[in-house]
Amino acid sequence: MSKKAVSMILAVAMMASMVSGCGKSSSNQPGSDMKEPANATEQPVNNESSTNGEDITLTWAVFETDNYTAEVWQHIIDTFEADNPGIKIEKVLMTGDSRPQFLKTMLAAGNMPDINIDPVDLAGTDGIYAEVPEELLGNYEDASIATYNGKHTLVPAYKALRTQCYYHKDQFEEAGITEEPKTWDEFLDICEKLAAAGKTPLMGVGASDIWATSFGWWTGVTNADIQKAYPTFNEDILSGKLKWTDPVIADSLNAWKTLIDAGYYHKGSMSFSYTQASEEFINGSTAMFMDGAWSAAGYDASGLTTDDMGVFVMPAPSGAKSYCTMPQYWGVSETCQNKEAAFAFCEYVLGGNTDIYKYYLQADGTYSVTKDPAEYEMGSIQTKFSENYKEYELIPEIMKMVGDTAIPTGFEDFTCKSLQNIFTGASVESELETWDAEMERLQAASE
Amino acid sequence: MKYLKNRSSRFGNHILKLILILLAVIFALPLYITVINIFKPTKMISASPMSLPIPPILDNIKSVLQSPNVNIGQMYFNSICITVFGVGICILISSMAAYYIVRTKKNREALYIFIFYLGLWFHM
Amino acid sequence: MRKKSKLFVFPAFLIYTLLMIVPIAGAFYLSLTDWNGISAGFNLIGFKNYAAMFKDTRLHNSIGVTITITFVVSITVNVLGLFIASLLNNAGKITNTLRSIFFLPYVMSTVAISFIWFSILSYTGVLNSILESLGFGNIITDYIGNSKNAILSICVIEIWRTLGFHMVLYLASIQTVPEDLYEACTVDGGSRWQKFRYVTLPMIVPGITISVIMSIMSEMKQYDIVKVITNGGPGYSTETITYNIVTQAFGNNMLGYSSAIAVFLFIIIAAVSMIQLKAGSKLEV
Repeated sequence: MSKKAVSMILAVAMMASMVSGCGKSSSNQPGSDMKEPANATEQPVNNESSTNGEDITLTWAVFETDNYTAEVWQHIIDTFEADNPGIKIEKVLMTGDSRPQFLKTMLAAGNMPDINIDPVDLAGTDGIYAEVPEELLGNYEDASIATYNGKHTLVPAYKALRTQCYYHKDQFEEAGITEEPKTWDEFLDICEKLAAAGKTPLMGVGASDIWATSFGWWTGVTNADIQKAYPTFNEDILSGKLKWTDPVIADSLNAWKTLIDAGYYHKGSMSFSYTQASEEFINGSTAMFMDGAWSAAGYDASGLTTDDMGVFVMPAPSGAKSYCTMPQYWGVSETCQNKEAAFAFCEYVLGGNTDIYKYYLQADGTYSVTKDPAEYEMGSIQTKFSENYKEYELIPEIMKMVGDTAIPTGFEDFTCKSLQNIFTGASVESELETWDAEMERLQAASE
Repeated sequence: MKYLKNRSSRFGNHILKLILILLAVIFALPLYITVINIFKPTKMISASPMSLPIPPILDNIKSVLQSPNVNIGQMYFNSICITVFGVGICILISSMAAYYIVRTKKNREALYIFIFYLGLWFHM
Repeated sequence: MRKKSKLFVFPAFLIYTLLMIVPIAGAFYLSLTDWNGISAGFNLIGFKNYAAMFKDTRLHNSIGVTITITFVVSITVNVLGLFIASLLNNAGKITNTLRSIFFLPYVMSTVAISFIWFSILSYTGVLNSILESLGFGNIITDYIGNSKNAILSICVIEIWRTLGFHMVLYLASIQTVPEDLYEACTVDGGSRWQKFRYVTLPMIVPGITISVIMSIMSEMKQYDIVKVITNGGPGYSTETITYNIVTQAFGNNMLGYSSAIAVFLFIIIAAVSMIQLKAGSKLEV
């Protein structure tokens, strides 16, 4: 074809895509790109919300996953705007795999969104988030309120259950396994039986989702082991009374290493992203997958039932029977010019309008933190998930503690990378030795 | 120049051309795979990634264009704006600077050229 | 018209100073502080950041990774680029199409390229499927999750991306070599290889210098592909210096320290480029 024809075709294709793209009503500002540090000079802080006449516009930073789709956020926004004329909400999508990094770049650029989801990382620094009015805090359970430097700067949103082990019932039957494992030895047993039957027992995650490689084991098992031995672990580790090279932690991670060294993980684990690994698991590439509570809601929504997919709590080598929840918060930025409207929005979604609150909780399978619990219908898998914890003790999650006993920023990412090293063959002891030095370094930097 | 080529070198020419075309094919493979995978449903992509899309489907393109996060018009407009203004101003200003540098005495010219070359280092 | 005004240079100089010199000076200044990127105040701490850099094993690892990637990619791209350019020079009619094919990956966005290659190199991706269907099922490995393979994969992707650009550079340089030199060589009884070695190579030394400098500089600042595909690789094995800078700045809230690393990178790249330029000017014919 002549060059002219090719360029005509390309131009027409571009116009067609522009026209079809323009035919939508919603428009949102794409988030700013990450700039190189060499260009980050101090800039005067200004904000997005404008007051033209009577309309107030608030910017709301959200993130999207398979469960939190764009429709979920849009539904919440539409319902709120219908009930509150005069306040418009603009959605800002937090892109990238690290939401705190996104918020920090927005803050550095002077574009901090008014209302943030997942503000925990930045809340440790004074002056980023506005103090929450006491009447609003009164709606929530006392245990869920977070204090930073003596101030209450975050609005509790929900609490999420963490991780259990999902499995395909048909693969278990084929390998001759009839019961869910209750102890560590039983778990090793079923892994052996699955391997003998020619199946891959466990699915792992790698590639760019570094958090996911160790997620199942760390939050489900090691957290329980540590808290059983040291109930005040966070205070002790931060003050230096305990070290990360503690034998309790080493034993727990070495138990993980026995699983890895025995070859129970899928061979391609480290090259799968989290979405890929989930898909492979659903398609039956492996028998089990240590995954989070959000998947239960997802499986229910896609039509699976407890006939196909079972779930059990990972038995801990130390015999601890406990589980942790991760609290989630919303924060209103100090740079917001319409704090009343922003807090009104928070109050509306997080408990004020019970239908919307239930809708929000149901999307990801999380649980309410209001004094008046909002309960919703759960699918069979999710019901089994929360019932599994009936006799278990609720303990705090080390890495996700908020307030003054929080682990310094950046340490969790460091541990995720270190645990990935362990997954690919490093020795547990040598990795743990690097944790103490790094934690001290980050503690010194955050003063 | 053609008369200078004898038979053996013409044969070597063909071999080299063949190598060239082979390299080009290997090079273009990822692009080819991407383009044909646009028109295939997901299952077919994982099952047979290299096959031609028969019949082609447009669902993938539709879901990208109609996703509520994607505002193609705004995106194109942003890119075009940045390109036009950026390149335009750049050409204007740098040609002015280059004109001056070329037509001055040597020692001053060296200083300016050195300072501007510094900038080249950061642009790759 | 002999009037030339300094004002001609002024706008370029102004933009240049504001957008380039001031941020770099800012980075120098920040590297002497302990700013964490969010709070309003910070303290001057002198050269403590630079001292800390010497003890940071993670940084040393990323320097090693960056140097490996730079070496492998630069050498391969330049040698292969020169080879393909000299082939293309004699190709005749298909030169233009082939040139476009080779150049196309360079104009694509690096993030898009990363996604394409991620789907190819994944364990259940295109490459392994092809190998299986061709019967080489026993050499299927993990190209991304394995530390050694991950660096190689990144090198391959970078080579694929930048080869076209360097090939075009070399093609332009080769085409500037005057024909009579080749004729003289043929008259003296020179073979094809001798023509290349004694006529082409010396004449394109400036082109080689520029190409090598550009490839080294762009590889030392490698970030996008590493971030999207491996996010620093299994553990730390594919972290590059720029990746380290960004993580330390926004992940660890240590903007002062990461500015120090950035200044260090700038000095290294400047030094390497200056050495290159000196060597290149000496070899020039």
